[in-house]
Amino acid sequence: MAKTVMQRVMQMIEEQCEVEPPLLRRILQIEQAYMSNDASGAKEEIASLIGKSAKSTTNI
Amino acid sequence: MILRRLTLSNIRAYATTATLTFAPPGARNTTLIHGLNGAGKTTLFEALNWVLYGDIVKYPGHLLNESLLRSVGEGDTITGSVSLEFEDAGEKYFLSRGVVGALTGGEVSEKQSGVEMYTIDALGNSKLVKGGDQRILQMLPSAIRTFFFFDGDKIAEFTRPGKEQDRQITRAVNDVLHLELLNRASQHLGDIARQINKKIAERGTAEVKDLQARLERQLALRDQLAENRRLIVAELEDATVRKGQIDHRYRDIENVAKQAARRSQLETEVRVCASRVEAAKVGLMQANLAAFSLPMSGVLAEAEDLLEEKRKKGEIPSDYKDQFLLDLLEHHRCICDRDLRPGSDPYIRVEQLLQQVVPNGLQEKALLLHGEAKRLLKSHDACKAAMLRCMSDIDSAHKDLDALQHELDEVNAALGAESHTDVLELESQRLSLEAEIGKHRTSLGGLEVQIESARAAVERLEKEFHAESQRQQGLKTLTREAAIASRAGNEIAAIRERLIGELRTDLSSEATRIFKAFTWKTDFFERVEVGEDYLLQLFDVNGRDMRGVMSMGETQLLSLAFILAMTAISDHQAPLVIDTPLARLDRNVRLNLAAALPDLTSQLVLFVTDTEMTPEVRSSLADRVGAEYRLSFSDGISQIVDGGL
Repeated sequence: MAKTVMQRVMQMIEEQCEVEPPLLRRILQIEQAYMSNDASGAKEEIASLIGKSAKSTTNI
Repeated sequence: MILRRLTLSNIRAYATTATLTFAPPGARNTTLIHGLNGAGKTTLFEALNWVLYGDIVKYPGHLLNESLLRSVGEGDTITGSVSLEFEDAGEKYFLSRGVVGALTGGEVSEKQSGVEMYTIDALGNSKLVKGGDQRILQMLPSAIRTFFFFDGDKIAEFTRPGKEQDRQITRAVNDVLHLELLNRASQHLGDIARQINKKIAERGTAEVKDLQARLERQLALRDQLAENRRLIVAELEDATVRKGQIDHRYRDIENVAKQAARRSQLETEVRVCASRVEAAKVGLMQANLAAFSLPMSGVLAEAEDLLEEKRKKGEIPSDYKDQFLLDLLEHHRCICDRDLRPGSDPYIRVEQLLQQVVPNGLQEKALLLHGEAKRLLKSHDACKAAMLRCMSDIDSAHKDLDALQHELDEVNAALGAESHTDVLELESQRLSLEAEIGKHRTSLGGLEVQIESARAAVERLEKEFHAESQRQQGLKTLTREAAIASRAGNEIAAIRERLIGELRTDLSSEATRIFKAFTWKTDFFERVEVGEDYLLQLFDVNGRDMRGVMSMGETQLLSLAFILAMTAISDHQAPLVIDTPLARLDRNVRLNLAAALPDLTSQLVLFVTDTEMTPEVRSSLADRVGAEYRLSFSDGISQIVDGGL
């Protein structure tokens, strides 16, 4: 069965991204949840996620 | 999303309650709703859009039935509603919207209520869903409905977009293919990185501040270059389409030259043919003159027989006898010397004899004519054959002349319809457009280099900036945040670019396959390509861009192929609902479409006019129709009548 567009995106994230895939997947989930809402809410939530990720990461 | 049942009450022409149960996905996945124009098809289409999204897509105005609205007394109200039962991701839903009409101060007003949404469990128990509007938008975003619920009359807009439609289509495609999601994510991450960079600069050393300022400038330059590139791509696209139109005009002109040559040839042929007609007419006239004597020959023969008989009886003297009798009467004496006085018996007898004499020369004339008639009788067969041949010649020449004249009229009409285009002017425009295209391509090439260079500069500056800020105590975590946000943004942007490339290839391939399945000109059209910004391009077998020169039917078909390709590639599962899908298509395409559409979607709902619903179309769809409804309209009220399935 052909891959869905999101499955393709997830595969690309796994294959070619240096940033941790779970973080990118979470970012996209947040965006998806806000697609029909106020986009600024997504930005705040992602900024918070990045902040948490930076605190728990030693390497960049 | 799978549609189950739609119910309308007091909406537009449906003055009572009307229910439509949709055919489920499967072998017979098609719901057919047909009726005359004005029978209420579009109201059902509107009702479906309204209950899902709360907007009226086609005909704004009162939702409530006008007769009911007019009958409302001052201060009274009436209500109407639309409800929809559907499934999504295995869950059953019930959706409803209401409208209340009132007469206040002589003015009719309507107030629409918000959506009410419930889930229905296996036992039939319902549970209210909060934020129904948002849930629907998550299931099927409003921008995406363009690809699932559409008006057949308007789909040509996909192929001939104006600036506004262009943006709408781009937005809808971005939504359908999740590109908007990736776009927003990368933009948000870029914004977050910039905001953090500013915070770092505020607290950082002069060097950090300087690096952040340089980075910000470089980012602004990169964004500006990307915007310039987008504008140039749009201008290049526009110039390419205009050049294609000029090339088409050239082909028209070439055609005009051929037509003019043909006209000249036809005019000569018409003249030759007209001469043939005239010659045949002269031949016929001569044959007619000859033939005219034929009936006379019988009369003359009869006259000669009569003369001969009289001659034998001695009643008719020869011309000499005639003169002899005159001489006798003149001299009053016979040659036997008998007296012939006027009034005497011999005189009277001679006078009587003289009266029986044929006038002078007539006998010879009759003989001569009879001889001629005999000669003509001998040539009777030849004369008849000549007449027939002449008549046949005239008939044949007339037919040829008519055919030539008809062709000549057509050529004249075609030439008359052609505006007299100045080839030099066209050539000048074409050269100018070629120069413009060349200039845009050069600009694009240069821009690509500049954008790449700006990207590299941004990356380098970012590294420097982060390395510098990392050294400063208290900025380490912020720097890590900025670096993560920036890198995540860049990676999502890169995924988006790669995905766009892949999806455009898939869309082009799928749209080509679908377009070729529908069109009868399979040997003429080569491929459909989805250009940048998802503009559709159709190429013929010679690689010529056919946009702007397609018929309305072909334009509609191309748009339909694009929509169906989008729905095939999209992750969204939704029924295909089309209002008047076949109106502008010719017979072959209609049949191809009717046969192919049910296979291109899980659930198909067609609102068709009785004119579209030809027996052939019905026959093509017959095995795929799971529900059929006829719409009747009388006394201002529409009703859904079960079509018998």
